Amino acid sequence: MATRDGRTVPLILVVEDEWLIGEYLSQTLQDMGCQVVGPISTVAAALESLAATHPDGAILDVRLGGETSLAVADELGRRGIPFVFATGCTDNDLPRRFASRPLLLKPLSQSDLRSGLQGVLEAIN
Amino acid sequence: MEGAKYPIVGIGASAGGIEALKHFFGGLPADTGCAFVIVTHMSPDHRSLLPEIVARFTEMPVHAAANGMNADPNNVYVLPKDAVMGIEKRVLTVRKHSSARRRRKSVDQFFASLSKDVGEYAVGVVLSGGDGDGTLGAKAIKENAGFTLAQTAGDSTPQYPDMPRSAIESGVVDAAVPAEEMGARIAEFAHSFSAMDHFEKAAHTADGQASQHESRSEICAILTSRTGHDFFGYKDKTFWRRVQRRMQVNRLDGFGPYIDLLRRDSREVDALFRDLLIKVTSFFRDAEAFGVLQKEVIPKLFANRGVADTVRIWVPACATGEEAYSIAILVREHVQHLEQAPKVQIFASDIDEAGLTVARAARYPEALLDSVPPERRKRFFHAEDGSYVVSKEVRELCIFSSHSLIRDPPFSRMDLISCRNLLIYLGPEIQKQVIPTFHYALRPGGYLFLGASENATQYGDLFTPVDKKFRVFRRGDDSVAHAHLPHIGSGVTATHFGRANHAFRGLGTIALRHAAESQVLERFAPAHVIVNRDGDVVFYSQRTGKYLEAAAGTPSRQLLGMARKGLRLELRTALREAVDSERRVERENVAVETEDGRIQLVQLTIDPIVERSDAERLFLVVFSDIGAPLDKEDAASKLAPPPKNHKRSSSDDMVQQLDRELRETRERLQTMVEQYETALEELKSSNEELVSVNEELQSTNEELEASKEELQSVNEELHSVNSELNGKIEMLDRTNSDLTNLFESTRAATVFLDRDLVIRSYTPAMSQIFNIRPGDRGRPLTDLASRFSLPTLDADVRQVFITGESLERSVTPVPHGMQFQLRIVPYRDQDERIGGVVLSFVDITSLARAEEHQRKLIAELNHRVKNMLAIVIGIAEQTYRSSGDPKTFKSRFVERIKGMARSYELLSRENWRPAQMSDLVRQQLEPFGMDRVASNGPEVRLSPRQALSLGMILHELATNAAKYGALSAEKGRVHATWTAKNTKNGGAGVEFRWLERDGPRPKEPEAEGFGLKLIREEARHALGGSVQSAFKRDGLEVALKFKIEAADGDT
Repeated sequence: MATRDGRTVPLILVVEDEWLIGEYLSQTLQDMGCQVVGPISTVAAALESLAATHPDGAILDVRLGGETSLAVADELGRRGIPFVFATGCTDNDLPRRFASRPLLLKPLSQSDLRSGLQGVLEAIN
Repeated sequence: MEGAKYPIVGIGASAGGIEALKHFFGGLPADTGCAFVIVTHMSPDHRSLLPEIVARFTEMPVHAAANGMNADPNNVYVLPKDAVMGIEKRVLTVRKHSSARRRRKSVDQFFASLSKDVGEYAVGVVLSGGDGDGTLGAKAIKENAGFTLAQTAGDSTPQYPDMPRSAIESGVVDAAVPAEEMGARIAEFAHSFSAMDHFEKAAHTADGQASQHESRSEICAILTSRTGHDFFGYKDKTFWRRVQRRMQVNRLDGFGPYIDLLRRDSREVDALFRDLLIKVTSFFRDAEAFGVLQKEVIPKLFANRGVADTVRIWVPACATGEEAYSIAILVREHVQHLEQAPKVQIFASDIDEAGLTVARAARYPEALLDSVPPERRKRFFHAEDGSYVVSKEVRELCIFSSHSLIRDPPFSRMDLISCRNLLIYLGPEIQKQVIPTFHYALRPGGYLFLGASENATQYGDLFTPVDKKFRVFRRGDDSVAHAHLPHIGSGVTATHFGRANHAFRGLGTIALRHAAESQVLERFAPAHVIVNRDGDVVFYSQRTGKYLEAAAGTPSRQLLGMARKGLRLELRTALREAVDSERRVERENVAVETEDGRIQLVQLTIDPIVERSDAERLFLVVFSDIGAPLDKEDAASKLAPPPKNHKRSSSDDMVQQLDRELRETRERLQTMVEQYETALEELKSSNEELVSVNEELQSTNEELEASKEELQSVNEELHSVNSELNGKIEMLDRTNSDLTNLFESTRAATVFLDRDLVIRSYTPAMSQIFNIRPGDRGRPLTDLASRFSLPTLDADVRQVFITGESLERSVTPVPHGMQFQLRIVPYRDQDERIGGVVLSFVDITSLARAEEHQRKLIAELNHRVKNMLAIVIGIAEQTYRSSGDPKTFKSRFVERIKGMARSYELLSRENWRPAQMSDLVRQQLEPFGMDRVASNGPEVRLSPRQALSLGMILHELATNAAKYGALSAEKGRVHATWTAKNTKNGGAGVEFRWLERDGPRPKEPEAEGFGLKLIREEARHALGGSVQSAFKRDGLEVALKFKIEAADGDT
């Protein structure tokens, strides 16, 4: 949780290996009034960042180059931080434990992000 | 018959017929203009393939004959099975066989019908066969001036020669030739009709008439001189027709040459003679002659005959039996009016066994019954399938047997001999033998019935004519002393007969003398014995007991030992004298004491036997009584002086004794007579039984022969069919081996199951995949179901059985990781019934893999496209932020998208496999003018991801250069070079350098633009490398380092 101009601003972790997309997500989130951690393109860096910060929510690209962001999701879950998956894959091959998590299909528009992160944003406001 | 005048050839064949037909048609010229009708003996149970078989022999169309079919020229018709065929106005009539019995004369029937229908245009061909069918038919054809042929041995031999031989021996065959030569004769015959027409036309001109008259006179003269018959009175048309036929047979085409032939060859004269006379034996042939027989002869045969008597009639040379049956009918008609009919036996004999078979069958085609009046026909025949069968009451009068008039001993004590039209075939020498034989065979007063052209008048001492016109003769009543006993000698042929006859007469006299002498000796000769010189008896005559008696002691032949009292002494001295002198010695009045004690005076004669000079000398000792036996006193007185007393015995005693003896003898005789009569009765009844058994056997035999015939025909057909089948089997074998090879080569695992799901066969692929072994054949597949992991197999197969539709299932067999598509298809046999199922396992392992792969590819593509769109959004966002106005945004954004599109184009050309770096460079820089770009570097391949990334970087560099750098100036140039070296991590490390030269002096931008950011971020994130840029005086320099990603790293 961060503050800006005396108001509380939600801190969102963006994990996305494609920098252009990450850049877009970050800027869009910022336009929505969020503060962004990232974009982070690897699992290791994401976990590292989580050790240092406590975001209010997260957007996770499922596939990160050769790896997946499931370890990050587990960590977020363990810590009770709400998150959404963003993926280009239509077939849902996510493990069952994430079945209840919201899943956003790329490409993402601002309204997608807004509705995806609605729960997070409402919790903050 | 007007208009359509062409010969119709009837072909009769039975056993061995197929072979014969093959040769017949083989030798037949094309286009004879004749119709051909084949008649065979077919078993009613067998489907005949004859039309198909015959079609192989000839190019003419072959038809299975049907009722109402026209018999057209150059066509072949085959009698269908189980039918009888006739012809009427050249249209075939085919009727179903009505009787189940197999005594058929289908050839006779057709021939007879043919002769009636087309007369001289009828041709009868008798080929191989095992009975006498065809003979009667050929007769009918011959009689109506048709042409007859029968098969003899040549290049081809009739396998069963009985049928043609019977026809030939009946004398009704014009040409007895091998089958292959028949065709030429028939063609000539067909051709000869035009010659005949010509001849008939000639007869209408005066010249022609004259020359024909001349030829005729000449021919008649030759005939008269050779045979003594004058044919001048013969009907013109008949005469010429016969002459014409002989000319055809001899292949002569003018009267001149034919008359020459007649002059040269006496056999031809005989042949013409026979043809002119041809009176085919037929029922009541010469009705008038039979009328005379009926009125004049038959009643006399039965006059004064009682029930116990037998009337015996002999028909020698009965041929096919018509004459015998005609007489039998006359006899039957006469007998029915008698109260007490004697028994009648008609012996019909011939040397031709085949003819006899026909006669015994007693079945005749209608044509031969022409001269039988309807009432007789009705009474003595019954119609059966177009032929007439002689009724049993007539049939049983006749006994047919094989007998040679010339060689075998004749029958005897005959009342009538009917021998018509045989003598004309015999030479005068043999006639001289035969007529006395008839005389011998007839009982005194018996009748002889001859043919119209035959005579017995030159044997006036033997026969007296009864009716000269119709040739009825009567045997003289005389008991001629020199009985003409026929000669019976098996080795004597007919031609030797005249000579042999004299020898036989000599012999006969001697035999007669012997017979007479022995009888005389028996009755009148005195008792005698023959002894050798020692007095041992070698022969006794009858009644020697009066003079000799057995001596006491061991049996002996010594004459002197056996001599009765009073004889011995004289005998001894006389014998001694005779032996010594070798001359006759006589002793008178030798007194011999008889058993009753009386004295018999005897003359004793001993005579050496002259004839046996070579052997031991023998002596004939003759005892002749002189007077009656005397009392001793009388004898003594007679012998001077016989001093004896006479002891008188009681004559009463003797009479009594004789009476007793007589009584006993009578009783014995009575018993004997009774026994004899009983035995006679028994013999009679067994004889009757034997006769009936014989009848039965005969009919069984006939039936057997008929079925044998049929079987042989069937057999031949089967042979022929068999060879065809063999061909088919060979074809099947080939097909089968093709199939086997197909099975071997196919990778499809297929198994054939029958209705019970038992494995019938399978392909080798099946054994490789499912481990089915030859031993599993015959096992139900369900036993092996576990190997297929198909628990529903049983139900599936049953469903296919029920629905008749195929089913598909996918199978993953237990021991393999393979995947199969199982197709269950019903196995339909020829009747479209489901006789089983075919299971085919199609290996779809690779297909499944490909499908999986494709699925992954599509998912990947999806992912990429979406990612791509996300990137495009990202680019749009960034471009938008860095561009001031919409116009700049638009041009930059479009440029960037186009740059990406170029990279995609290259990659898609490379099929999304790693792309050449040089290609990528060229692709991206080409729009900016390659003449201003120097690119150089080793071969390096980049993964699609890296290629896309580097493509974007190159695009940014190039647009920047075009806007601000070297490419914006006229002479500015760009160097794009790269090097590659192996790094420790295995992948190649690439260093790419971008140098701008001769452009405007670059200015360091105040803030980092999106272009530079993109380059940097792409290099870092996407390429996993680093970038350094320097704005030097000469121009911008950019160094990019990254590691080559493994080719499939991105998927």
